[in-house]
Amino acid sequence: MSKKQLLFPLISLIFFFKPVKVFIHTLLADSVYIPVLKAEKYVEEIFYFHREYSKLNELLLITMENIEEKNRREIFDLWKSGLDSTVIIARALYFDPFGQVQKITLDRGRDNGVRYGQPVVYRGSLVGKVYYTTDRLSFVMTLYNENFRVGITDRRTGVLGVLAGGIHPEVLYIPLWADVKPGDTLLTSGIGIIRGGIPVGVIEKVDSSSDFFYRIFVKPFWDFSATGLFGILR
Amino acid sequence: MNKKSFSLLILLLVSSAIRAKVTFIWLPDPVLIFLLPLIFHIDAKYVGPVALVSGILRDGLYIDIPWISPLLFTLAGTGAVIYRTFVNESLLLPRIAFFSTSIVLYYVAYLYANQLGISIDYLRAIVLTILFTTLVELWVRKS
Repeated sequence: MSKKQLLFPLISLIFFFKPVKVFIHTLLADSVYIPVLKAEKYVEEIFYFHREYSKLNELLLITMENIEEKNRREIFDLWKSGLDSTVIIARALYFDPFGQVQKITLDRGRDNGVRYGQPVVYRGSLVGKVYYTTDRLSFVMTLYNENFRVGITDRRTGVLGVLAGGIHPEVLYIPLWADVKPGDTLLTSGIGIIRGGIPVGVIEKVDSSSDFFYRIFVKPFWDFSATGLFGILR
Repeated sequence: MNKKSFSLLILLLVSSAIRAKVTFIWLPDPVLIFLLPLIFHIDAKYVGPVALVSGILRDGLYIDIPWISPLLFTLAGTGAVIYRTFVNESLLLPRIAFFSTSIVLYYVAYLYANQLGISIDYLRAIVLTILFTTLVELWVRKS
């Protein structure tokens, strides 16, 4: 046995002195234990966030289901209680073009009672009308389609006009002496094949620069940025 | 130093650092489990540093407790080096006897220094530590 082997037990005796302990403790804490604790914290955080992520995902799923159910109920409540009309609930299959939608394909057709000319609503406001049906599908022309026309009336004054679809929907044939102003609510008039009383939009801007008729720009209630269940009114 | 001894050394350092933070008194002491077989399988000149470093890591977290592990481990290492010269190294039984003595003495000194009373948990820990140390020794001997 060499003297070196006795050296280390003698060295270990100095760790009974407080200043040496403090020095070693600080050194170890900074170099070994704090990195280990940090790593432990990171691992805990990863598990924590993973759990939270799963919880939020479940919550999101439940919320989405609730919202869909709520939309379905809203459409039913609005159109089954107040009006003598039944509503066919349909889901959108296709938007053409995507964005400012001009045509919508719905998953209900002649077999479900959908007919040409029936109005389509989304959360109680007018979306458009059915222009073509097959046995299982129906095709809707929306307010943003240039060929769309519907008779409307000002809810405040009862002034009649025709809503012409397009990128900026306009109201036609309202004379300059008629009482209309921005902010007025427009409803369908019931003149024509679409039933009356369906909310369409509000008057956004009134331009009186032409000779005989106003140029009235309308902001529809229907927000094409959101989708959900559509109602086809019989 | 072969591969198993090296892995034992790594396990010893890691378990020492963990043992300083996490303590279950009824479980065997992993530092002893890895240290005692290791000091028979490495060169005698490395025994002292390894025992000293693992002892410091073992007690180094808490400044208020007496740091007796560096002293006891280095003493155990020195004892092992002396013990090697007296007994046949290839036999298992002398080593188990050395392990058992070292572990019991370590626990007695540790409990006395920390003013902890003896309980059934510590007895269980002593027996389990001897058992696991023997198992690790058997594992290292196979190489």
